[in-house]
This record gives sequence, C-alpha cells and structure tokens, in this order.
Amino acid sequence: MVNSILKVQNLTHYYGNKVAVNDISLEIKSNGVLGLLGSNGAGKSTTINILCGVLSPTKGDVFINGINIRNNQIASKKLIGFLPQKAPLYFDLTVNEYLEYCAKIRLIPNVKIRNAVERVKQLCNISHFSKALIRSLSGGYQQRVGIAQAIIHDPKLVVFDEPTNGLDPVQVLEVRKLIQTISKDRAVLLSTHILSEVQATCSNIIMIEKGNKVFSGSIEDFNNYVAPNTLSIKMILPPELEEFLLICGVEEVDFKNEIILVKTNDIIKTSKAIIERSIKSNWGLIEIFPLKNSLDDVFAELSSSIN
Amino acid sequence: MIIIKIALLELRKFFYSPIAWLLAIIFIVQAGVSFIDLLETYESYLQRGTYQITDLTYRIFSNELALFNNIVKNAFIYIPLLTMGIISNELNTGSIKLLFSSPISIKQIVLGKYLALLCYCLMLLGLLFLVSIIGIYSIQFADVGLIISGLLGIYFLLATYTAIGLFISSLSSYQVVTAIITFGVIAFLNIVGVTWQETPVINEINYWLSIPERTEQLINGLMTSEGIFYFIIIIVMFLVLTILRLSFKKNDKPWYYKSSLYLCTIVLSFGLGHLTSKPENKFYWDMSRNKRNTLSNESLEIVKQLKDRPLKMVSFVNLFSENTIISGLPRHHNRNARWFEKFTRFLPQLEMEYVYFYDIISNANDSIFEKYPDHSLEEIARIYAKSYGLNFEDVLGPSEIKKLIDLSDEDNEYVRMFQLNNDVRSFVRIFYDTQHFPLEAENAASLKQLLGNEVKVKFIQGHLERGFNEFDSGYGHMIKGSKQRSSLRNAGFKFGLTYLERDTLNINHDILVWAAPNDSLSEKELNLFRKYINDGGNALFLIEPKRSSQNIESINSLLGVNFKSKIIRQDIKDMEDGFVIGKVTEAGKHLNKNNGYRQSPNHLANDKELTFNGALGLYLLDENNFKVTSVIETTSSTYTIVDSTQTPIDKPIPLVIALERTVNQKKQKIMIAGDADFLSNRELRSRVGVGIRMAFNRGYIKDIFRWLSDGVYPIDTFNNRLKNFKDSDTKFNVNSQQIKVLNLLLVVVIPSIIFLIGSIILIIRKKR
Repeated sequence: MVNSILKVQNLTHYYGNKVAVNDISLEIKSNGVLGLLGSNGAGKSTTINILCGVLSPTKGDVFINGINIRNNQIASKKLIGFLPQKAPLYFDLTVNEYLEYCAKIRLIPNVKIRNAVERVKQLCNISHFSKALIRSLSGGYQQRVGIAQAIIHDPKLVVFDEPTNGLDPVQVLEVRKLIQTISKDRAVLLSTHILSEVQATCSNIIMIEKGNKVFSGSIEDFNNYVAPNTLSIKMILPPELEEFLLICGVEEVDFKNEIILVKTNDIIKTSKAIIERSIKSNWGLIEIFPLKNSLDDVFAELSSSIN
Repeated sequence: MIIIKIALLELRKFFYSPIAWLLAIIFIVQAGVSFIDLLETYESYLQRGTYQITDLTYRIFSNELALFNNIVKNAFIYIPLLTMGIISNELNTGSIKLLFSSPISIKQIVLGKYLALLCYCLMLLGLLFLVSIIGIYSIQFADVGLIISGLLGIYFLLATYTAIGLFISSLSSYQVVTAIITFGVIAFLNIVGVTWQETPVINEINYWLSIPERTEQLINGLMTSEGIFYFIIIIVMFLVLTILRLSFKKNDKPWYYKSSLYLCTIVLSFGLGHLTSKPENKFYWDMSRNKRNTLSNESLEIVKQLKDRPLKMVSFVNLFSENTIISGLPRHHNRNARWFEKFTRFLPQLEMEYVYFYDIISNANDSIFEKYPDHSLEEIARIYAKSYGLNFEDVLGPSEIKKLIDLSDEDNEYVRMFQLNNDVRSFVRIFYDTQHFPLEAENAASLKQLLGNEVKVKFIQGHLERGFNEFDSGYGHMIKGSKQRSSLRNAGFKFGLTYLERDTLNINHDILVWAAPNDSLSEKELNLFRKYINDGGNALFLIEPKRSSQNIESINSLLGVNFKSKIIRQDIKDMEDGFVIGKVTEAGKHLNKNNGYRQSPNHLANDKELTFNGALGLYLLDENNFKVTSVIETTSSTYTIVDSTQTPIDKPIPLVIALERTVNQKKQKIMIAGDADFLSNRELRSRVGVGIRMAFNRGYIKDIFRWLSDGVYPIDTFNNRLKNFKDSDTKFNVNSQQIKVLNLLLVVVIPSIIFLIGSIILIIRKKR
C-alpha cells in the first residue's frame, strides 16, 4: 500500500483549558493544493504548526509519508517544507547566505547545497537578488525567499500559512502562480481565510471553524454545498410585486433596478410558472436563471452553522 | 556537525550587525586604557626609585584595581547586550519556526547558539590576550602563569554570563526585557554571597552561588576544582534550562510539570555543587610562579605533620569585642572558611566552630557601663546580642565560658583556638588592623605550637631588671602586644618572668633575657645562670650604659669572655645627647643564613636607621671559643663619633653583637646589645614614623629572635617564594616613551582597525 503524503488522525490541541483544534482528521494522497480554510482564530495556524513540528499536539497523530512525527521528528521533518505566516527570515543575511543556511539545517549534503539553492532561486525567480540583503527586498520578494526556503530540500509536502498576507494585488497573483507551479511536483497545504485564494489555487478544501472540521471536499462540492434558492429575472414590462407573490413557490421578491430577485422554495416549479405567466401576460421575459450561492455565502453559512 | 553550522550562522549574524564590532571596540579601548594607566603609574614609581616594587605582574594584572578585575567589573554590561537578542529575536520575528520545523533538535539549536557566543567571547579574550602579550613583553620576568590563570578566569566568567543571557533571551520576545533581566541575574550572582548568611542551608547555597570569589581566585592564580566545577555546573544548568524552556514552547505542559522539571535541574545542579565543594573532593593548582596562593615551605612542613589528625578551630566570640566581632558573626562564617582555605586545602579534616559569649574585656569595656549605668552585664549583653542578630540563648555568660575555657590571658577578647586531638590547644588572635584576620605567619605559628615546639622568652627578675610590664622601658610591646600582629607572642613565642633561684631553666626551649639589671646577681643565681650558659642555653643581654661596668662584669663572668665597652656619642642635629644611630651590618643581614629567614633585599630593616637612646660600643678581647659577629654598627660616614674619652673614631663601632659556639652538639646563641632601650616600648612606640626620624628597630626584632630560637619562630612565610628574587618581576622592559607608543597602539590603532574592518564589511553588504 502506498502511504498517504499526509495523514492526520483525530488531532486535538489545547492551550491550557481552551481547545484550539478539536478532533480533526484529514488526508492528502496526491500532489496538488489542498486549501485549509477558516476565519481568523479558527485553528488553522495551530493545525499547521502541529503538522510542521513546531508544536506538539495534545492528542492525535500526524503521519508524513507514513512516518509518525511524534516518534520520528527528524525523519518526518525532512519531508516537510514550511512557510509560517511571517516568513522566517534573517534580514541581515543575503539571499544566498540565507538559503545556504536553510539548506544546511535541512540536512542537505554539502555537495548538493549549491544546486539546491540555484534551483529554488530560479523557481522563485529571485536569482538576480542572490547577493542582496534580505532586508533590502520588497515584501513580495521577501515572501518568495520564504517560499524558496520551504522547498529547498525538495519536500513531499509544503505547508504555506497565509502566504499572500500583506502583499499587493500584483504580488498576490505572482505568489499564487508560484504556489501552483510548486504543487505540480508535490502536495501543498495552503492555509488561508481569503476565499478567492482558494478559488484561484485549490483543488480541494478543508474548512475548519472554532477548531472543528466543518467541510471537506472538492471545490465544486464546496460551491454546491448549499442548494441555490434565488432566481434572477430580467423583463421588459415587469408586473407589480403582488402578482409575483401569487406565483407558485415564491416567498420573497426584490426589485433591483432592472433585475428582479425572486426567492423560492422550489426553483424548478417556480421558473416554469414564471416563464408560462410571462408569455401569457406578455411581460417580455428576456433572462431567467438560478442564482448560484457565492463562496462567501457558503463560508458564512458554514461558519454560522458551528455557532 | 549541525551544531557548528548553527554556530557559524549565529557568528555571521553577530558580525553582520554592528553590535559585535562596537562591543569589541569598547572592550579593547577599555582594557587598553586600564592597562596603560597601570603601566604608566608603576613605570613612574620605578623611575623615581622611591620604593622597591615587587610583583609587577600581579600589580598590573591581578590585584583589586588591576586590569583583570577592571574587566570583571564591566563584563556584566557587555554580555547582556550580546545575548539579549540571540533567542528573543527569533521568537519576535518568528524565525524560530524555521529552526523548529527543520530536522534538528532543540538541543542542537541551543548548543549551536551557545557555541557561537563562546566563540565571540573567545575573540574578546583574544583582544585581552593581545594586551597580556604586551604586558608579558613589557614586564621583565613577567609571571606568565598568573596571567594565563587570570585570562582563564575571565573566560569562565564570560562563558557563565553568556549561558545566563542565553537562557533569559529565551524567556521573552522583547530584547530590552531580556537584557534587563540578565543584568538583574548577574547582579544577583554578584551579591548573593553576602545575603541570608545567618540562615543555615540557604547560606551554604547562596555562598556557593556567589560568583566574584570564583573569578578572583583564578585571577590571583589559584585554580581549584571547586571553582572550575562551579562554572561548568552553572553553565550546564542554564543550558539545560534553555533547552527545557524551548521544549515547553513547542510542547506545552501543565505549569506544575514545567516547574518541577526546572526545579529538578536547579536542585541537581546545587547537589553537584555541594559534592564538588566538599574539602575532601577539592583539588588545587597554584598557577602563579612564586606560588603566592600556596602555603610557604615552612608552613607546609607544619600542616604535613597535622595531616589526618583530629583538628578543630574554635572561635570564641565576645559580644563586647566591638572592634573585631563583625568577622565572627554568623553571616561571615562562610567567608572566614574561604579565608582559611589556604590551610584547609591541606587540612580538610579541620572543623570550624563558633562559641558566643559575653564577658568584660580587661581595661577596655568600662565605657559600656557608662552608657548603660542602670543595666546589669547580662542586660547589656542582651542588647548587644539583639543588635548583632544573635539569639541570646546561644550566648554563654561569664561563668559558663569560664567553665569551658580560661580566656583571661587573652583579655577575654574574641580569639581563635586550635585544638589537636581534643587536648592540645593554642591561640591565634584577631587583630585591630585593616587585615583583621591572622595571616599565614600567625596561623602557622599557632599550629606549630600544637606540635610541641615551645619556645619561651624568659625575663630574669629579682634585681630590678626590666621585664614586659614597665610602661616605657619594658619590652611588652615587642613581646606581648596581642593586638599587635607583629609581636613575638603572635609569632609563636611564649613569654614569662623568671627568678633564677625559683624556676628551672630548659636549655632547649628557653631564651633568657637579662635586661639592665640594677645590682649584681647573688652567688647562687650566678651559678645557676652560669650552668645554663655552660649547658648551651641561649640568651639575650641588654646593657644600659649607665650601669655598664657592673653589667659587663657579670656577663664576662657568665660567658667566660672578656669584653670592654665604650659609651658613644654622635653629633646628630635636633636629637638629644647620647642618641646614636646604627645600621644592620652585612653579616647582620645574613644572621639567619643557616635557617634561611628573610634574606630579601627589601627587608624592612636593611640599610635603614636603627635608633639607640644612649649606646655602648662593644669590643671583645677574649672570645672564649665564641664566634663573634657584629650585627648592628654605627655608621661613621655622616656623623662624628666619639667615645667617652672624647676621642673621635672613624670606623664603625659594634652596637649589637652575636656570639655563637657549639656546646654538647647544641648550637649556643648569645646576643649582647649595647643599649637596653633599643627594643623597649619607648623606642618602638615613639620613633616609628613619628617626629624627626624613622626608626626601623622593629624590623629587626624577628631576625634576632628567629636566630635565638634556632629558626623555630617566627615562621618564615616569605623566603621560599623569593628564591629567584633576581628573576622576579620588579622591572619594566619599556620606558615611558615606549609606553606612549603602546598607548597609541592599544587605544587608537587596534580599535581603529577593528572599526575599519567592521565598517567595510557592513557597508559593502549594504551596498549590494
């Protein structure tokens, strides 16, 4: 049997009496990006710190490529790359010095260090800053250096904790692209509280809230998690509000300029009825479609479900 | 090795930030200024030649005001600045997560960082080594061992301070906070030795924890296993605490679990400290060239004979000994023990006890009743006990102490007693002078008395001879001034008054003193005295010019010699008639050649003036097999000397002569002085440092009695250290001009070079 790249079993962590992570299990079997979604303080960072060996869990087990990190920290840590929320940089060093040092403490043999450093610099597009002090780099490039150190030892799993935090829009796009490139050859766990980031980069999602797992599945599953219940309608000669309310299934109507939003309890029946009435009454229907739930709605929905 | 890799990165981080460079510059400038200042001071002394200065290496590097102690005093400033960020900064920036998520252990992280700190301190030591090299080159016959030991002491100190700083840096992510706490902990270790010294157990722990004495020992050239273990234990303790602290950061545990592990580490360290500080587990290595921290050969001989025999040192502390009691109080017990370590090093079995009591101190305590007219002695003692923080129940009253021991000979003062095998006893006194404690000479003399080496100085009485009770003309000052460190009593001699007809004399233990008798001895007395002399007994004759003929007749008849005397007059400005000045002769300097006592060129009495208040010149016509040596003579060079017949004499006249012969295989020693005053209270009291002339009579007393006692007392604690006096560090190789160049080198050139290298590195890196 092939080992999962990451397997987390019943992970629980307490800070004193306060539970930060409660009985979370998850598994990564193949390369690609898994999004770890949750609002601020949901327990994302705690989970990630545990996976990366920065924190020991109160309960539960973490296996990296089949190795339990509790029993074999050194071996398991060789397989993980980690970019914490704040990139762990030494600002008085140059990019080269820093990456060489990272390579050393990741136990890369001396002869391979130079190649490893060159490879990640190219991958992260920072080769031209090799001799610059990290202090002098812009935030985006500092983040790239942070990413470079996370992959310098060619790990099976890379963990990014909110990697686009504090970057400008252009830098955000670049970093996302970089993460997707990286994920071609290895599994990536990306923690974020920004939905668009998940949409842009992730193939699968795990969402936690208040330490509990509230969702786990593909991005499509996530999008369809809550069934749609609103129709968006455009008409040349729309009727009065009262007439809509008489149509089968309609619960609420909202006129927004030219668009009429109709909330219903049965989307199929109500659409059919509206189309029929429109033809009969000559309302001049030009557009009707079910309004998909936005991620934000799902997010809010899932978040509130735990409350 | 990953530890080395981490250390190298840390070092890089040091040198890629300005702190390391600035600290190095301040360090070398400070060391340089302090060193050059001392060098200039002593060079200027030597130029003037007023004083003979010995131990230049010690004076420049090791004594309280010298270079090494200067560094020690300031080390607590550098180290917190160096260590404040070493972990704290990683916690603050989050880079600690890089280390935690890497396949390395916390132990490796901590050791790597500590190794880097050690390397930096080694660099600071390198700068100090440079100063030392200059010192070794500048001082003729510099004591290299002493310097190396001092450097080692400073390195241990820096290493300990950095271990403390490392731990504290792991406590907070605020660097300034960690720096301040580090200051605090270092300050604590510097004062802890004097805190809580009244409380048992805690006083031991606190005293052990105290850091200044440890460094001081090494700076003075004495390496002890206890000291080395102390540094290592403290360092390891703080490293373990750091590892624990970071582990708990990663692996949160309940507070009781954490605190019990911290506590275990500390308790274990203290336990190890206790084991290593037991006297029987200690080793010593005196690194100074003339073994300044070790007992002299004569003292060593004494302690060798006391080895493994039950030995006690009991301090009898009188509450009313106001001038000396401080050192006897419980809070000073540990310090006293360390003070005495020079001896306990060879006598680990020695037990120290303290007995507190109160009793009137003869001739001294009347004033306490004036202060408390309505109080009984006990009530006053209660007040005193309370003021010293003593429990009055533990203080013996006058009758209780008398049952225990008779201290009347000691005037009931605070005194120490050595006791061998629970029966043989000897006293050693606490003095009113600045050094306060008995030093090696007094302690060794007291210990030697335990071994049965009794020498008794007996003053013949019965014909109005002088003894030690006369205020001016007597010899009390020289003999028994118990508050006077230099008195013969404190040098090991016993003394007494003797009547020839009543007392039996012992030719092996007695030195008879016959001083200025007023009339002749009876026939019976003369016979007894003659028998003593003929059997080979030693004696000192002090003749007073006024009754010289009678005295000389007696001496001639006793010794079977024939000598004549002439009253001498010197014409000395501002001095009374009859005042004579003498000097120790070359032969007098080597009076104790056979027993090796004090032949140093800077002996107190050498080439100095000795005063005689009316003196006889002594001429031996028939020597009766005695070998005669003139030990003190007049100096003819500056004064006109005339005899009683007013004939000018232009050659030195003997004032004190030494006679020596062998009787029944015993060396017999007789000394005759042409003035009974030259050792009297009046002469010793009035002329030392007062008035017109400095007299150095006092300086020669011990030479005389060492000779008369056949080298038994006083103990020579000095001579064997100066075997190679010519090769000792008394001169510089550099002159004041060269010192100016050295000043430039240490205070300007080297710091500038460091500054330049630092700036170039920092600027180049910044520009990229």
